Amino acid sequence: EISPLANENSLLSAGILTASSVFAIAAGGSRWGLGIYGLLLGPLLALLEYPRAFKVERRWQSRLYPLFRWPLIGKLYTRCVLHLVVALPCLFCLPLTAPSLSLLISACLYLAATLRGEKFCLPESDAMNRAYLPAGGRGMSLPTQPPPMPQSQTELANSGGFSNY
Amino acid sequence: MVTKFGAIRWCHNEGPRTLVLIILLLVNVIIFAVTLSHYEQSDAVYYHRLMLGHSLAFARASAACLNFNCALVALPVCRNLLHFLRYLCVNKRLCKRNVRRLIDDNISLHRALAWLICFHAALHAASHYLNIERFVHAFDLPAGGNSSAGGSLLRTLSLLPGHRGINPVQRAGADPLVEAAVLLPGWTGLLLLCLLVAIVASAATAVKRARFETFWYTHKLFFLFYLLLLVHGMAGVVRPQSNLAAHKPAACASKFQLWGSGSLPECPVPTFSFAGSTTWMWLVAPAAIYAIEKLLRVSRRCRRVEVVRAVQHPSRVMELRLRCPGFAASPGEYVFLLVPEASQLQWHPFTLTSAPDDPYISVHIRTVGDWTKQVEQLYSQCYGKGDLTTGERDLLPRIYLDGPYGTASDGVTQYSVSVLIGCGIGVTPFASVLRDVWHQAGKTRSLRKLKRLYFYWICPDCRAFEWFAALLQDLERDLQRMDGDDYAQLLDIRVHLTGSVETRQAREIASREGDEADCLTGLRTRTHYGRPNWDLELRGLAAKHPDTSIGIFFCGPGQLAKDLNGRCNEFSNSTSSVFYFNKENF
Repeated sequence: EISPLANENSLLSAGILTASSVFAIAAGGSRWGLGIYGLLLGPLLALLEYPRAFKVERRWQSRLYPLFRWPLIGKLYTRCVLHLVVALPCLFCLPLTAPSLSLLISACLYLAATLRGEKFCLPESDAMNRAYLPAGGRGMSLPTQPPPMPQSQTELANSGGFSNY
Repeated sequence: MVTKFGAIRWCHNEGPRTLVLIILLLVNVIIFAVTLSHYEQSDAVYYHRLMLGHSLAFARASAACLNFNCALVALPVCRNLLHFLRYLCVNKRLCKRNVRRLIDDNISLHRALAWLICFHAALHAASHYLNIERFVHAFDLPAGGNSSAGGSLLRTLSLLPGHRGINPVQRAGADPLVEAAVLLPGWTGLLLLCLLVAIVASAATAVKRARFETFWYTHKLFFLFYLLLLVHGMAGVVRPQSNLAAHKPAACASKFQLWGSGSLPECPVPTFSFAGSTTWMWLVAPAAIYAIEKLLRVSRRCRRVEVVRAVQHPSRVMELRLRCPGFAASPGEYVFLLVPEASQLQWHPFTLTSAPDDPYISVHIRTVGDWTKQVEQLYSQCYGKGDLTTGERDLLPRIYLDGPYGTASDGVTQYSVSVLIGCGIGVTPFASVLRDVWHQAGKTRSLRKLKRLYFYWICPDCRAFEWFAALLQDLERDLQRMDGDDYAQLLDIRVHLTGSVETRQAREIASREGDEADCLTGLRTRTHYGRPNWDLELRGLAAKHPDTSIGIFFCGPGQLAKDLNGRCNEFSNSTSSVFYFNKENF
């Protein structure tokens, strides 16, 4: 899958864009005003990219997945176009050029993911996840392991923890 | 942190790694400080300081640190180098146990170096941004008249013809972005930053878990990163003054209008020249080591490996028994396998489940993904045939083997008490260790320091690991036969099943409570249901083995590893025993 790489690359680039924008405004220099644009764009992009479903040990987990339900945000080609459009102005301010190029790389990765037919998966659409969701469909997944068996007080006192054979 | 036992005990476990990280930071600070001090004081860059301020010094200092860190970052992930160091430490006994444990922590060092590279790259880029702005500003200063003397000096320095000057900007009204883009260090620097972002992003857990190859191939971009790093400094934008003997900057700066005129022979026009980039000197050694790594892998592809038997185990596990002349491995080591008919490029790691004394090399492959399913299909024709004849072996798909590579389990016999904890599939490395312990105890009687070995097996249910349960049964039986011998009490096995038990199964377990062997595992050791209480277990071990160094070897989920590591430090502080935590990494 390429979309996780696009997502992580975009998230990291948004963070670097924010920091570079602060630097561009503080340092002054040519076209420093684009730093204000970058300072607004960076956190918004980070907010867009942070909700993400990803697989851990065969089950999907997500970060802030309710935001995931917005129709446009979940589409990879929408993200591709969005990254392309918002990153272009930042190319014209030198401190923002590198993070802007990274965002364009993310746009290309999203495009590649779209062409490969990838899509973001909502946790509740996966069969294994559905088995663990409580009634109502939302919320944390149930633990997969039962709690440890409680030992009797006598056993605790006598064994000292490790049984001797 | 000082306890009644008189020492900061956590240092035993965490001290070596912390010390290495502190040394790494100190070296970075020293390199940074020395380079910064040089560029802040050297007369050769006096005029540069006038034009650029402190930003040049910060840029060069961070560049020196980048050279150092980039040279080292690839070394902790060179498997053959680590294997060689481990061989020197374990087999040749050239270093102490704590140094060997550092080799197991190679990924932490790699990550620390990566973060330092990111920090210095950011500082370097920010400093050079200020430099390019100041270069543009210096060229745009008015030539004379009402301008300040400093401004005219900078303009004069900028107008020194062609390659004799210090200002790469050579036209009025230049755009810093365009100037940065046309300069070699400018566009290579931008590409380097983009590559760095991609490489760091690919190391995220979500990317590795989704598809490991995405992380692997993106990380291979480091090769392009190194190439760009080599050419990045070759343009020689920063050129120190070369005629310091003839032209003293401190004395001549104020008389810039008379430079080169006959009336001031002691102040000829200053000349500047590029001494050459030093990055290649830092990268030549790691490049050589990496080249040797690749050559070794290519040479191992020429090594003849035969499949002598394929065994089908329950729960989709296939055991491949291989023979490779000249191959020697220590217990717990792992190898990479390549089966060209399944994939031409993919090498997959598998722990060796055979002991060094076994007449074959065995790996247990669980068919869960595309590659393992294809390999199983290719060799399933050998099921049930026993050892294959030479003719049958020649007809099988070719298989190649790279390794062996060592892991933390190399150190099991370096402790008098060792505890092996395997969770789920993480029990596989310990198969080889247990078999080797059995061989050594029964035959050569040489287990170095090891007197007692505890083995914890934690899994949801045993059905996925029948092959391992059979191994444990053999071990238990053979060690029982050594009744009266020192090694009869060598091994303690504890099995924890954490999965749910059906009612019917629970009734059967209860009804067979009095049997000699456990009904689920077949071992004389009773199965425990639920996760172990590690506080009680570690406290019990400390009570049973006071004033002892106890090695904890763990292979399993990361969260439990962190939890156990913390408990080892806690009990090292609060008891007389010291717990050394060792985690298996691939």
